[in-house]
Amino acid sequence: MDRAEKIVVGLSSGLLGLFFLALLAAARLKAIDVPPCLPPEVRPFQTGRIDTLPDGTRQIFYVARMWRFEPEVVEVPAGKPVDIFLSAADVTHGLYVSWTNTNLMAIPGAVNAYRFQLPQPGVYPIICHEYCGAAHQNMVAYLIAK
Amino acid sequence: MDTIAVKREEFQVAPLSRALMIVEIVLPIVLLVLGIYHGFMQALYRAGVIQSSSFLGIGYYQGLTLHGVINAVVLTTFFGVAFGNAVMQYYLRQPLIPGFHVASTGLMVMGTLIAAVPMLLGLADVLYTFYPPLRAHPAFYIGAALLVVGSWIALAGWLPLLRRWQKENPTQPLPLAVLGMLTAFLIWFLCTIPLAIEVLFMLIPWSLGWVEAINIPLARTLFWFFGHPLVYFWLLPAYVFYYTWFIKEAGGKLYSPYAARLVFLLFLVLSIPVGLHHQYTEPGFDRFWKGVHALLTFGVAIPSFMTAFTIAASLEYAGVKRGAKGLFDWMAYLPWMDANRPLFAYGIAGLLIFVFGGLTGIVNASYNLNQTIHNTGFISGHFHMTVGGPVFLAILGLSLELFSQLTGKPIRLRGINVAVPYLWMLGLFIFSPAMMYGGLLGQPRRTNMGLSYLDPDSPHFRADWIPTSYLTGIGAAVMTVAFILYIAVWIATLSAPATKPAGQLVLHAPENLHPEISTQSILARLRPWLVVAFVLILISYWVPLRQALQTPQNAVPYTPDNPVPVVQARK
Repeated sequence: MDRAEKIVVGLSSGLLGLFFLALLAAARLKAIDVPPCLPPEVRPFQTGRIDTLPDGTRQIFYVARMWRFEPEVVEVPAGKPVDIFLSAADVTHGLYVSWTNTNLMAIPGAVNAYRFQLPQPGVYPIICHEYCGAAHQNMVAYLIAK
Repeated sequence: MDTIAVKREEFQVAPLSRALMIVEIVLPIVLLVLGIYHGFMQALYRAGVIQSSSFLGIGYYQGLTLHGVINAVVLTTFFGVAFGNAVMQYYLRQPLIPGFHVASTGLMVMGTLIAAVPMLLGLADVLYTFYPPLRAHPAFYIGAALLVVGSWIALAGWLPLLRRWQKENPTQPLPLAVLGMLTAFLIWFLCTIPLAIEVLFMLIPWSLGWVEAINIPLARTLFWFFGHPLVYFWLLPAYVFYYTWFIKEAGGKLYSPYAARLVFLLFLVLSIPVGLHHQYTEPGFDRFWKGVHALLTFGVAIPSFMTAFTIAASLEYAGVKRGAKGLFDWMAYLPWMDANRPLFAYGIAGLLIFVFGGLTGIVNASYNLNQTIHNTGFISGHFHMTVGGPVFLAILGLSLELFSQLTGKPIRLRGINVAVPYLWMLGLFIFSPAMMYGGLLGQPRRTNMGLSYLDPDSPHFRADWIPTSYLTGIGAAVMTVAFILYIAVWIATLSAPATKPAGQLVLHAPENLHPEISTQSILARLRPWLVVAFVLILISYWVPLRQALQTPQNAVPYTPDNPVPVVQARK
């Protein structure tokens, strides 16, 4: 390889390395991460529900099924951590809370999880973003942050 | 060494292979009319221009399935095989083995037709990723499997030619184009093994009702084990074109054969152990292994950065040779609108698009950054600038050129032909940014938005999505016009008489600016690179596959129109 090529490989690798470190820093310092891996003992559930932990953290157990989320409308406190657990009752679905990084796949056989907070009061549509059959476009739920 | 004359005689293709290659080129172009039509229709549904679940008897998701399967699977696989057949015959100076050629083309055509029936009947509205537990008619999976097996046979038929060529030319490394096509098909062969496991041992028995339930995380992991290397199988034939014919068409020399060979070998090593970057938002895999796949995906970006440099340097040489003096004015000296060099236009438009396609791809691969854009319109905006950019334009340009050589008919409407890629690029540069910006606003990627989000009467109406979805439609309309012009060029070319003897292949290749490698170089050998590829696959997939296997086999099939599972309905 000639010198110019070595420089190009060096620069592009260096840039990618820097970028990768930035991603890790965001994961570590800002807690912006991908969903964790729950232990396999956590089995899928068939009914949606809402819990509140002793420390006030809201926990929502969502079930995604053709073609609705359960529970459909949930109130959460703005600016407080919320835990989502997500189970798919039939086929594969997606759960995307508008304007946030809460972006999850609902996979039959496994439970997905994510912790997030809604900074501003308001209505946040939750959209199914994985094709799940004929009425996929109608699969919407709402989070109301107060 | 660096100025070995590469000007060579044309290669006369045998009549049988000629006929088969014409089928391999024309069949997908004909199907593409349907594929592009459905692409345009989707843009109209998504903008709310069509507010219906179907149009002219074909449903939105049925059309989306046809669009994906035809454009991204049928077209790319047929073209890969056709271009590979041309490269092997021309550079190895040997005819194809008739038995292999008949079997491979025959199976591919048969598979396509078998899969087309359920798709056209609406019995396979499962999109081109066919994620279970949505279930298609068994013929869909069987047809797809035959298409893949046909392409394997094409590769098998090239290997004896390669061995013979190496025996007769012990002092030369494999021609660059041959190495490129070989790496493309080795990647394809390796990555279609997990696909074959998914389709043959899980989906086909399950769709026939022989097996009641399957493991979904396992099926998805096997799919993406295949699904990302698939994009390099689309891309590498275009890279072969860029590194050879395209540079020659521009009037340049290949800057460095060393770097070019290294690029193809790096793809062989790095393109497979990256599939988990499609599964960042899924449960069941450790964050650590998602991170490993993210890092390796960044690695596979490096050969593309190298390509950007090498091709630009080769084009700079072409510009300078044509009279450019300054640092940047070489760009102005390239044959942008030369109607006699349409392949330059197809290539350069594709490259300009790919700058953005590559960079947005790095965004998608970026682990936690993907949380913002996963499964939104950003993804579709991105991959239309890769598979819909350099890959698609290289396929369009080369299909026409190869057809012209195989039939002896000169390309007609040359002025229009040279404008097609730029018009496509213009449309794409409206379509993709609009799609991606819509994605950042939360628009989902595969959704008939006209029935809900873009319907003012729906409770789910999203006024903030109107501008981006309309712009997407305008971009798609421009792209569709470009394709109609392309088809006009085809029809004019088909209806003109032949002026040259049919079947004389000439695949142009440039001279080298820097020295060619020696046969002693590690770059002249495949085995060490294959070993590294195997090791990386093993390391990166060992734990994720074991984690996927922990899920019980309990997913029963559903058809897309019914929330009651098929098995239960049958009982």
